[in-house]
Amino acid sequence: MAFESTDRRAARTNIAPWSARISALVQRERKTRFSGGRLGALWAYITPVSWVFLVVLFYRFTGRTAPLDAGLEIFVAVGFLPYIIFRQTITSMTRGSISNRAMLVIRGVRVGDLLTASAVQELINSLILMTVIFTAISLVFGSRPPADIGRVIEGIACAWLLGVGVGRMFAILALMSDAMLRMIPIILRPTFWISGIFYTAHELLGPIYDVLSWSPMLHATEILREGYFLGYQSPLSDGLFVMVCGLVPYVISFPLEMILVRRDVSRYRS
Amino acid sequence: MILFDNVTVQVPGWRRPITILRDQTVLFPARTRVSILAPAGSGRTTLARVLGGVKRPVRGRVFIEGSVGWPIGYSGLLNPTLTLTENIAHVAGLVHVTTGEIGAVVAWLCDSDKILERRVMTLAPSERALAIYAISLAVPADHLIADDKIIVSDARFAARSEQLLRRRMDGAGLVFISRNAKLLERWCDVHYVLIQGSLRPIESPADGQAMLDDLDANEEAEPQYV
Repeated sequence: MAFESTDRRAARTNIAPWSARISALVQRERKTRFSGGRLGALWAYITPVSWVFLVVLFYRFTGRTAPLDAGLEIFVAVGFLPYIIFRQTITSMTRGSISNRAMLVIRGVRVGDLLTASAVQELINSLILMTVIFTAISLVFGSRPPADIGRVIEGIACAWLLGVGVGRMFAILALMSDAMLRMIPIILRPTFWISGIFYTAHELLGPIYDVLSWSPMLHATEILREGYFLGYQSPLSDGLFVMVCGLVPYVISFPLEMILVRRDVSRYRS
Repeated sequence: MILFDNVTVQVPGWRRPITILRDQTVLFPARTRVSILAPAGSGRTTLARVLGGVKRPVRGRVFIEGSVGWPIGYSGLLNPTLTLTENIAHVAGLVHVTTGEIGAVVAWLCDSDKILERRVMTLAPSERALAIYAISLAVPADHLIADDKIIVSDARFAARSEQLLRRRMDGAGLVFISRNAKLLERWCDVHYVLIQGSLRPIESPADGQAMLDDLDANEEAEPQYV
């Protein structure tokens, strides 16, 4: 037989190390998420770029201008990017844990591995998306490059970490309950309006400011703005607050995962 | 070896959990071929998952010494939009075996190298069944688990699949769960019947079948889920 060389020693250790498992699952996630169509993985970038484009068009038609000394396109893109990353991370983790659940039949592969792989894949997508959007707008519209790249990455990381925390909790709840899966978009809908896509913290007044100062997404957006726009300082740009907001659901997700696994209450059978 | 130590296995039910196994202590020794005769609806797949170490019992402990494969011929691992090679690469990464090793087994069993580059959705059902059978046996394991499927049904490839299975069983144990007493008799040396949440040792699967038939006939049988 052609496979005589197969090493029986492998039988002793055929649970791959964590890093190898995550790497294999990231590969699978990347290959399968947009498989089937001609444009494939490009959809990961086409969709958010289209959103930015549509909002810019909306601004143009309504005669609105950027509240900062920056081009409209880059203002919209910087405002939109954290929201897109946050939402796509949650969507990707929720979908990935369901679509790759068959892999759980392999001993050693855990629900947490599927979720981690989706989150890692989404981080890669986010960094590529950021590079593509900022480069394209700089080249096409001549906007200035980021003033502080470290702060820009901090803003992106905050949005992603928040998405990972919320996404992990929602994904596990969605494995338990169909109602939860359907409720996720409804629950997340308000984040579009409280993320500071269309406004800066400086434009908020009185009670609205007080309420929105508790929005971690607004903080993430403002961190990104501080990094991108030279001299821009926001009163609402606390990275630690965003991370704590992400950490809380992340920690809650672990006992939920234990319930899911121990009581076998997943809606799906692998 | 796989040891069930006072194990109770349940699955969620509509009003209350359904018990598949209740307080069972059973040893599945290494390099032994064990059959479990289990009627339809008795929880074969759940039992296979417990034996495979991917489902925990609600009570008791399962000790697994050595490695356990996933159920032979388990079809869920293949994504239809990817090629066989891409699917194999993902499985290989998860089980610490090279893509080439698994690919070689698939190509040998299917008698074609070209099949590896085809998308799963373009494979005929028989080709797909053959490929998943080969993938599940391409990874060496100390314990093989079979959940009703043990040999491919396509007569053209039955001999090869049996050759592959026998090679994999060389030095490995097998736990074969099925409702087919004849198949169990053919492949296994030690026999159990799953009846009312208990794994009872029997001389032969035929005896187990007689016990199940008696239960049915007397209409005294509790549902298999107790």
